[in-house]
Amino acid sequence: MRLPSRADQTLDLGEQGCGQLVMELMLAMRALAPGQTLLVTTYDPAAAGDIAAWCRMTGNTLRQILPDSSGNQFLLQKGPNCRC
Amino acid sequence: MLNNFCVNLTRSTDDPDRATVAMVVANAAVASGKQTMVFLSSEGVRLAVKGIADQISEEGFQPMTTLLQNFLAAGGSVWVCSPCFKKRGHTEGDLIEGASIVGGAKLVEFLSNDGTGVSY
Repeated sequence: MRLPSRADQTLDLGEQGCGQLVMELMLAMRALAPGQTLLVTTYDPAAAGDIAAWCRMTGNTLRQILPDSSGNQFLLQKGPNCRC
Repeated sequence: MLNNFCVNLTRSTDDPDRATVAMVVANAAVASGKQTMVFLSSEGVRLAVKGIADQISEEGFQPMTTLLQNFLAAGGSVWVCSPCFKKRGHTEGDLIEGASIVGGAKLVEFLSNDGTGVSY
């Protein structure tokens, strides 16, 4: 299944982490409609935990974690009651 | 899940590392949908004085001015301890845009209303 190629939007966060990472997530997700997807690329070692927690708190869904050659990719889906 | 989140910050230019990390966490909280308030007390109140945040830029982090601007733009609040501010000779005219001077009762009310927080 090639979900990343079907993402509605992509976001490359590089090595940004912690508050800067979730701030960028919030801004990107605000621009999407419920049900749309966001493919996030990040190289921060804490990103997996932070993104999962952020999704739980804001009513979004972490659909898939896709390891790539040098970092991780995360496919998020905007929830119907997104709090961001 | 608790929705009010307070970051109590007692440092500014006297400990730029700690002050920066506090604002990074505040940004994480507000971007996570929490009603987030940074409570500046003791030396932390200097961050709310015009021109002071410009002096703080820690390696590996966004400059303090950017952190503050992003936090306020995302809907966060900056509250400044009234007696701490006055003790240091400042007045309301010294405040950065978006900050407000409050007393202890406001902090207690915020935390008592399903609030939690972290202190730096």
